[in-house]
Amino acid sequence: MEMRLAVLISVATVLSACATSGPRPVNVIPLEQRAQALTAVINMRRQLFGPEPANVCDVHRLLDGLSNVRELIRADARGGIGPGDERTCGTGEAPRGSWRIVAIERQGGALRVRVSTTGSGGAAYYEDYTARGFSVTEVRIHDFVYD
Amino acid sequence: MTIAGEKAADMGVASASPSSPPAAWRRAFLLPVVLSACALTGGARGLPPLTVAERAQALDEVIGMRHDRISDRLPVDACSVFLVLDRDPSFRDHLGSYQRARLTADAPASCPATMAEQRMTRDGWYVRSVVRTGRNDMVVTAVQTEALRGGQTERYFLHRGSEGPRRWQLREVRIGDFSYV
Repeated sequence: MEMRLAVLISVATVLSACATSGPRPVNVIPLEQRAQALTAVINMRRQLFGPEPANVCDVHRLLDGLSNVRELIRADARGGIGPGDERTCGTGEAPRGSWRIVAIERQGGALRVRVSTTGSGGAAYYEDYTARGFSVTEVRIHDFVYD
Repeated sequence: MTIAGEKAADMGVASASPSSPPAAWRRAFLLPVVLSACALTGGARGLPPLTVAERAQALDEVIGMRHDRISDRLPVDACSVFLVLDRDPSFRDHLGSYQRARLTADAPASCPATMAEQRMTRDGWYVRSVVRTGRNDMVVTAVQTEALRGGQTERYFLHRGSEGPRRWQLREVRIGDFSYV
């Protein structure tokens, strides 16, 4: 009885530690799902905010630094990725834009893509996109900064 | 055991009966039920209604933020603003000139009598409601429609501080319910 209780407590402790250890590394999420989410977000962002392109190095980083990242993104979103050479990413020479893809994380049965962007007054805020496959189901914009 | 403890034990033993729970147990069961009922009903009754000025300030904030950061392509439906500001004839004056310029040119006489009667007949941004959700919180719900692209529902969550100028400020925007034609 005491042995079973000890095992139960140990398992519960381990599970709690795993649950509270923070977001899992992005490469735990399959590459195809990440590419789908980025396609959805790039297209949705263009619809909501205009044609400003995604930072090519963000896409490169979130798709495991593969050389063919543009081909992993669906054709309708490929045009939404900014110019630049992926080979220079991480060397300080990559192009920059006003919006950056910060992270991709699991959120229940969907993926959450966090974008950091800058408003017209220069203050930064966050956009969180909930993506399921190639569709965005919700966009949350928050952390507005008031002068 | 102390004297109080002995008395408590005696009371416990004396009141334990298989046919009826002790009075203390009944009170303990009913108290959370009563408190929950009060929280559900009393809280709603306790919130003061939003004044026209408060709703106008919220719309001022939302329309400005939306056009600065989200989209400047679609006009704001004037009739929806007129309706949510209690059909005030001077509803345009409640908004800042920056926001006023973004309203469609609808005259109040041509606006429907109620929000329920209003139909979205053209591309635009329609205010649906301004609701207080807490003493210092409110939500503006709006619908954006585009004939070619369907539409989306937008909710703007505003908050005001409990000190200082107490101006309503935007905390979060949630855009969802996307529909595509």
